[in-house]
Order: sequence, then structure tokens, then C-alpha cells
Amino acid sequence: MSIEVKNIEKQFGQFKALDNVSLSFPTGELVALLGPSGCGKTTLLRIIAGLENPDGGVVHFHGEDATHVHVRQRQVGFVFQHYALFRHMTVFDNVAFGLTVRPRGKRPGKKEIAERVHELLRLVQLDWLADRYPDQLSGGQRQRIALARALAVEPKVLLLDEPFWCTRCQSAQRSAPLVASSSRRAAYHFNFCYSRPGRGDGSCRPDRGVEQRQN
Amino acid sequence: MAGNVSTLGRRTTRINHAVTEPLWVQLSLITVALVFLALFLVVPLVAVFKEAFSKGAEVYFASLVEPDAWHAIKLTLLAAAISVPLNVIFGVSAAWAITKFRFRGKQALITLIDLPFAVSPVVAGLIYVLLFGAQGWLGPWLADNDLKIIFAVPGIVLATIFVTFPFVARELIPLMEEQGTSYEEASLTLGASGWQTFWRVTIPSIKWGLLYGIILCNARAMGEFGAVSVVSGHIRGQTNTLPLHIEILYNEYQFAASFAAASILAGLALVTLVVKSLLEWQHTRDREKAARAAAQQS
Repeated sequence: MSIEVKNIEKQFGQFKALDNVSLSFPTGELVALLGPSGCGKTTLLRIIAGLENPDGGVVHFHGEDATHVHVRQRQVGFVFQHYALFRHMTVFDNVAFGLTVRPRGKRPGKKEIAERVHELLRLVQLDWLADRYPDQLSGGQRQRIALARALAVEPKVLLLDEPFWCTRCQSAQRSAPLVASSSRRAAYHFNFCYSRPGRGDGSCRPDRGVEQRQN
Repeated sequence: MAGNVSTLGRRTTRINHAVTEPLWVQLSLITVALVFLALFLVVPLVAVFKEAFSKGAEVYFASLVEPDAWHAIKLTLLAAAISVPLNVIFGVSAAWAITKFRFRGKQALITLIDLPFAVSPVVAGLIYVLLFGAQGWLGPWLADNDLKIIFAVPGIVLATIFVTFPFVARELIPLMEEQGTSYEEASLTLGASGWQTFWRVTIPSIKWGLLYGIILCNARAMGEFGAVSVVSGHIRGQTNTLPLHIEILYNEYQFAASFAAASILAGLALVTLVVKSLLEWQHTRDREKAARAAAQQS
């Protein structure tokens, strides 16, 4: 799904986070947003996801205006900077969450959900952790679970907020190619919000980098 | 008391050896704490029960099944049963609004929530008398419509709600502030509705704080004296709650009966504390069990 943002403005009190930002991301492209911290990368991602309302400008998904579409309906997968895994649920329940909250008519059966969850956990190579709680995982493991959870609902767009902020995590290196492969495989649209260019092992080079500057 | 409420629930069990004190410091601190505890908590509690049974078990039970005492017990439980659920609803919504949204006047709202802690309960009671009493602002209107609030059960419930107002909210605000909004946001991006998010994400993550708030709120609701005393009118068998009943008996030199009633109140408090400890114990046990299971797997 292609994304287009036009003339986005966002202000927090006196601070102008986004000033007339226009970008377009064609379908299937892996894009990284780069820039110094505080330049509005996360804000832009949150506006695309629908977690924040822009003060001005529009967001188009596949040519249609999605500016006022509710987060729930946007079908955007979002991996938060600190993953935001539900601490009271096991890894399995975390990944299954998006499927279990569907309205009754569209909700897959228990068996189907279990199959889907295990498939995703195998994809991120953490099938053996299904019964653990997030507190019992390492940073890198949490990150991959967060990715699996976001993929479970088959989003049209996947937004990763600083996916590799956890610089000392060895598994950042492991999940980078994983992100790339799962994205290409499923033809997802990825947006990285990636503030440390040069890290990673090269197998997850984004197709394109967009640099944001502080104004 | 207000300031301590939020910190009591979370205990760290990890011992950091870098900050361990010498043995004699440890021992003297423990002794001071124990002596203090014994003098101010254990001895009075024992004295209550000893005095209650001073004229034998017969007098003790007789003074409890006596109609006025029985009515007072029922009224106290009723006031708690109404005010605790209402304050849970209020506390959760207030904490939710304060921690999950940005709006003007947030600080003012927090201060307002603290008001019942700052104001003397007697003043709180007087406010209601001033509002709803016979000479109060709404008094004539209430009298015309045959509604009785002051010197009746509604007044007692109102006063109880007022004094127990902050417990749940105060317990939840720091907890929810710390958790932020990212869990709710994650839930929304995964397609959950607001209602589903509330029940499946927010409530489970504040469960322990909420239970703790409810227990404190309940303890205070049952034990409240000042505010209730002002609005109740001390009508025996009608508007006497257990704490008021105890005072009346005491003033009439019926010490055994008075202490018997007091022992019931103390008993209710003890049950509350035991429930709280059981919950905490189960909570830590569940966590440990999960950790052990995880350790075995890997």
C-alpha cells in the first residue's frame, strides 16, 4: 500500500515538531527515516499510524484520504520503541491479541489462532518462548516478539520506531535481515525510523533513506 | 497517611549488598521498629479483645446480638458496600483521565482529589449539614419533597464517600503515570476497541494497585468516625454505625459492650489486612512460579 503525506504540520506547545513535511512512499518499498533525535521522526510515524492528529496536512493511503481514519481501521502495524508488550500476558497471548480482539464474525477459531501464532513465532525464531512473560525476555527477544505481534494482524503498512535503538543487543543484527525478509516475503510496506545510520550488517539496507532535519 | 499510600504496595525483595549496614545497626533498627510496633499496634489490639471479654464470653456475645449493635454492624457494612464500588468507579475514571490525557486544569483536579485528605472529617460532615440540613441551602426543598439526607442513611453514605474519595485514585495515578499510554496505543493499533483495551490491557496492568486501593478504601469506609458522626444524629438502631455505637456505649460506661463492638471493628480491619496479605502473597508466588517455569525450560 502506498503512503503519501502532504504538508504535515505538528506543534507541541511552542515546539514545532513537523513543519510542512511532504513525502511519498510507493508500495513495497522499505524506507528509513533518518535524522538527529528530536527532529520529528517518531511524530511523523505516529501521525501515519493515526496515534497523533496532525495540525495541518493530509495522509493518503493508496490514494485515499486516511487523515481522519481511526487507528483501529488503518491496518497499520506499529512496533514501539520500547516494544510495549503486554506484561500480564504470555508471549503467545501477546502475539494472539490482535486476532482475539476481532469482532466475533471475523475472529478466527482457537486452533487457527494458535497455528498462526506459532507460525509467526517460528518466523522470528522464538517458538520456544511461547509460555514466557515479557519480563523474562531479553531486549532483542522482546523486539522480535513485538514484530511478530504487529505482523499477526496482517497490516498493510508496518512502522518500526527506532527498531535498533537497543544498540548492544546482539539480536539486533539477527532481526535486521529478518525484518527485511519478512517484509519482502509478505510485500509489506516498511518504514524504519532509524536514527543510527551505519549500524546493522548490511543485509537490511533500506531501499531508500529519507533524512529529516531539525528546523 | 496520604503520602505513604502509594509506596506500601511495592516491596523489593532483592538485597543489595553494597548498601548493607553493619550488624549492630541492623539489630538496633529492627529492635526500635519492633518495640514501636508492639507499643502502638499490638498492645492496644490485645487490650481491646481483653477488655471485650472481661465479663466473660456470654456478655461479649450478648452485646453483639443486641438489636442496636446488630443494626450498627449492618449499617456500617451497607455504607462500605455502597461507597467502595462508587469510589472504585470514580477513582479509575479519574486516574484514567489524569494519566492518559492532556488537558487544562489537570493539576487542579489532582488537588481536588486530595481535598478529603486535607480537610478534617468533621468539616466534611459539616459541609453536608450546611448543604442538606434543615437550615441548610437545600434543606427546605428536601423537606418539601419528603427527602431525608441528614440524620439518615443517605447522609452517612455521602459522608463516607467523601472521606474515602481519594484512596483508589491516589493509588492508581502514580502507577498509571509510570506505565504511560503505549500499551493502550499498541492495543489500538492491533485493532482492539476502546472497551476491549480497557478490560484486556488497562485493568489487568493496574489490577494490584486497584485491589490495594479498594482494600484501603474499604478499611477507611468501615472505620470512619468524624464525618459520619456529624451527619448521623446518633439515632440508635437507625443511624448509628459501628464506630458511633462504640462511642455511645463507652460514654454510658458499658465498657465490656463497647469493647465487644470495638473488637468487631478491629476484627473487620484484621480480615481486611489478611485478605491484602494473601493477595500480595499470591501475586509474588505467581510471579515466582512463572520465573521458575521459565528457568526450567531454558
